[in-house]
Amino acid sequence: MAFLRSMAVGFRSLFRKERVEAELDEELRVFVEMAAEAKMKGGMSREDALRAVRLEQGSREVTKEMVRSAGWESFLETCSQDVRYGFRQLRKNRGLTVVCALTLAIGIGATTAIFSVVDSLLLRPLPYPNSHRIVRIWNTFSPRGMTELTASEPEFLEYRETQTLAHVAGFALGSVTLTGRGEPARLSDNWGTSDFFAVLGTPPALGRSFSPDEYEPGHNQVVILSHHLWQDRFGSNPSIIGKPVILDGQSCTVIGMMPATFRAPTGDIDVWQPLPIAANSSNLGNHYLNLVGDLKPQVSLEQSKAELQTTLARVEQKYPAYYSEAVGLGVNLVPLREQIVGNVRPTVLVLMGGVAFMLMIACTNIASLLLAHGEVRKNEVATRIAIGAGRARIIRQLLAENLLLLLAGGAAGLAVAYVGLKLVPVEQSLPFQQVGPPSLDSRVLSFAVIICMSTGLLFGLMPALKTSHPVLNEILKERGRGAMGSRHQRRTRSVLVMSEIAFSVVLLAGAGLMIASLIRLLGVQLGFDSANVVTMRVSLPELRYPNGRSATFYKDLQEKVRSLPSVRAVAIVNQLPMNEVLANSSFEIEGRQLETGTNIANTQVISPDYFGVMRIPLIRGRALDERDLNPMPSTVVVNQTLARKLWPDEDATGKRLRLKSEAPWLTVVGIVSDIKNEGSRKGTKPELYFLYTEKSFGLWTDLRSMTLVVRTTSQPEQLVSAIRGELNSLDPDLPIYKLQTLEEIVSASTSQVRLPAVLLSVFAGIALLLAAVGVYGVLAYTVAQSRREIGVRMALGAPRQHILKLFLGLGIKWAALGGSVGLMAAFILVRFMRSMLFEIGPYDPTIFLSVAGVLGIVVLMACYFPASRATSVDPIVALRYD
Amino acid sequence: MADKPTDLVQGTLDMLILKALALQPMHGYGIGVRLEQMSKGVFRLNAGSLFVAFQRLQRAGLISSEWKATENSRRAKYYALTGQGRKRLERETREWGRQVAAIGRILEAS
Repeated sequence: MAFLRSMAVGFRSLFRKERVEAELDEELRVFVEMAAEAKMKGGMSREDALRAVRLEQGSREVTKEMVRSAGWESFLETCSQDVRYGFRQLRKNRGLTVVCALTLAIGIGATTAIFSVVDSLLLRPLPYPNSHRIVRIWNTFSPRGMTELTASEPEFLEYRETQTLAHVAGFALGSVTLTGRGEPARLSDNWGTSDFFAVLGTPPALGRSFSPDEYEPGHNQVVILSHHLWQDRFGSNPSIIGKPVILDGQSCTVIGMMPATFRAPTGDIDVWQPLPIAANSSNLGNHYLNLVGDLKPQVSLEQSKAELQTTLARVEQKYPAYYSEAVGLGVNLVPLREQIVGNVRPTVLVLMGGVAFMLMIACTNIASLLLAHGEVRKNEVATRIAIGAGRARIIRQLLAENLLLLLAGGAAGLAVAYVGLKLVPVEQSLPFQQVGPPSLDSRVLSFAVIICMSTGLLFGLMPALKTSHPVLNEILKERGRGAMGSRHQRRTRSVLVMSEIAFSVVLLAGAGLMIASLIRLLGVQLGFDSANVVTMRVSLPELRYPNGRSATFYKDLQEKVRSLPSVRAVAIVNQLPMNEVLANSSFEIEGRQLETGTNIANTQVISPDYFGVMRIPLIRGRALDERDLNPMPSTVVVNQTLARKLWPDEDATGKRLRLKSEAPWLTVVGIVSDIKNEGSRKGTKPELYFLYTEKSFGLWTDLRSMTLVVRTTSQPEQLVSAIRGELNSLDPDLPIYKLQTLEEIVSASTSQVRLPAVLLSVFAGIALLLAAVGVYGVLAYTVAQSRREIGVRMALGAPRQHILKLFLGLGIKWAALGGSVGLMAAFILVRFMRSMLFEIGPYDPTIFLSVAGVLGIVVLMACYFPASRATSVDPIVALRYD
Repeated sequence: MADKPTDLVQGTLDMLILKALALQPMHGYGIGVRLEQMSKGVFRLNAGSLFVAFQRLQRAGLISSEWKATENSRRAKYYALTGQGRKRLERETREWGRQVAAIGRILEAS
């Protein structure tokens, strides 16, 4: 109550200042009048009485000030004075203000942007209720080190009976063609079993989920749309629900639309369809099911894993013949977040660490600038203290100045973060498809505010405390002495500069390692020529392309495209290089039993010109030829790795192999050189090249979807519309998708290394620049402060060289001390980068030596100019100075 | 910053002002004179301390103020005890008595 009244009265005096003031004035006047009257009764004249009262009571203004400053509202008033004064000060030192605010903006902006990435990937809950309980379920096969195997239907049916998971759902990914709505489009499709949406805990935003009978074979011609497809292709029209759409030539009823925030656990999905699985399925050989489940409350991952392990053992007992070859099969459960971000976590954390270091450097830099500026203002502060300002008030005033700086820097920093997130292509190399894009939401903003506050304390408080604490006679003494500043101040400045140097060394080491990795990665011989090749995928729906038609179609398509101007060569292939997961198959060779593990090869299905388009050199024998078809292929080409592995001392050509016992024998007719088919970071596996035929000959690969590869004489992008035209003339209902140049594909495959390499280099570059500015600034300041000393030394005969050495020595000392602390810190920290590096160890001596070298050069350069300015001091002017 | 009286003095001054107002409402000067008379000249209070104390007491709701004509038909701001102020005075007086007695005992003990 009393508090409220005090507030009310306080506000009244704040906002009705004149009125309150007048009242106080009047009250005091009456007081003085009465006191004077009392004295006049004692016989004084009016004038004498008034004078006596004034002597007794002191100045009326002081009294008023006492009353005014007793209320809380006066604190606000002085604060606003401080802010106004701070604003004037900042405007007066425009250069300093701009440098500090820019430094802050870059530091805070970069930190905020990276934090938003960290938040979206590692901190923010995934966009599902109970997201922390959702797990991916994988089969594992330890003898071959396989940890993420998909499950078969009988395995899934058994897992579904689990007691530890609330639901288990299987899903398969693929694509379908949407026709009848403008340009035909290829859509990514997720076929899920009955509990799929129950596991993810998300119902459709519009319409309904699949009903139980829609999971029956033959009743599953229904589809749920993703929000973005609904927007792009259906004009956000809610009345689409209940209407049919044509998918792969078949009519499907749209029954729902998922919310915009819903993310598929595997990334970008356009449509969901039900996946019917017969309750008595014994389809053991087809391991196509991805599994997800949600743990029941109070059940640990380990408990559930143990239970599923025994479940798997039950399946194995049920089908002993099938599983007898697969001893060592196991189950693994991976939390969904781990599955999505596991392999990028080190990258993201290292980036966060890097940007934090940069921010520290920014703060240190500003602190040392403000400290130097504070020295300049020592006289001003001393004067203010001399006429009665309290220390608290001085600190408050300096902090108000820093607060303004911080506000400007923070606001600009948010702009930097916003632009940075737009410009840096983080989407390509980080799994935002699954977790949702990074955004400057309230969480990130509060982080930014916290960062601002703590940086403000870091860079602002120390200089403010130091500046507000002048010992008056010391200032006078120092002015007289004119040496290189007091020992104490010198030490503070040196520590600041050295920590800047140390921080930038850590960043330089990290950036150096990443750049070295990137250079090595880009230098990897891919084994094919990616320039001037454009690729696109075409899928033929089974309904419209029954037996015999798809082979003709691909043949016609290749011929038509080949006849286009500036096309060099055309081929088709089932899977492009730089693909993480390639179709593979086991096989057997004639006359020898192969051990398990050595009989697996990637299976490439190509048209004869593929080696020509890709420029993969033939080492031995000949390429494949259409005449080898009879109508099934009778020949095969192998890569060097396979030839070397299976026939180390013999000629591989002429040998025979087959995919399985009932498949025809194929003669090896040629050996091609190895290519980096699984991406530049992985070694080459044994590979088999088969001629494309329409009918599968024992391969597990979808021969209805093939990729067209076209080598052109000029920029390949210009040809796309011509190719599209040829395709339309063959079949207007076929979509072209995954349209990319081979160079784009290769470049995307290095983005995992490129992103941290580029970002860390930017951070390290900024850090180095800031550190150089810091070194320069502090040394220049020291030189300026020491003009008298230099003058005396020179007057006494010190040669210029000596002066130069004196100041360069200071810089070298900073570089040596700060640099070695930084190198030690880097040595401890780089091990966190181990998984991000490529063909370079974290403790690579070349990198560490180059970092030391770069640092030494930069520090010396930053020192040279102030130091040489010191030698140009004219002793006469210097001694007269000040 | 203006010098502030110590807590003890501050508290005491507030109590004395409340006591001075216990009989009837008075204006600022009157309160000063009355305190001087009651203390037989020991306490001479300047306008600054008094007005700061008035402002504090008024904000705490212990006294209220009103502009009224004086006996010399001049307008002055009169301060009066509120109910809360009267209660506070009683409590403080009791407390003061206890403290004085206790301090006295301590000082006489040796």
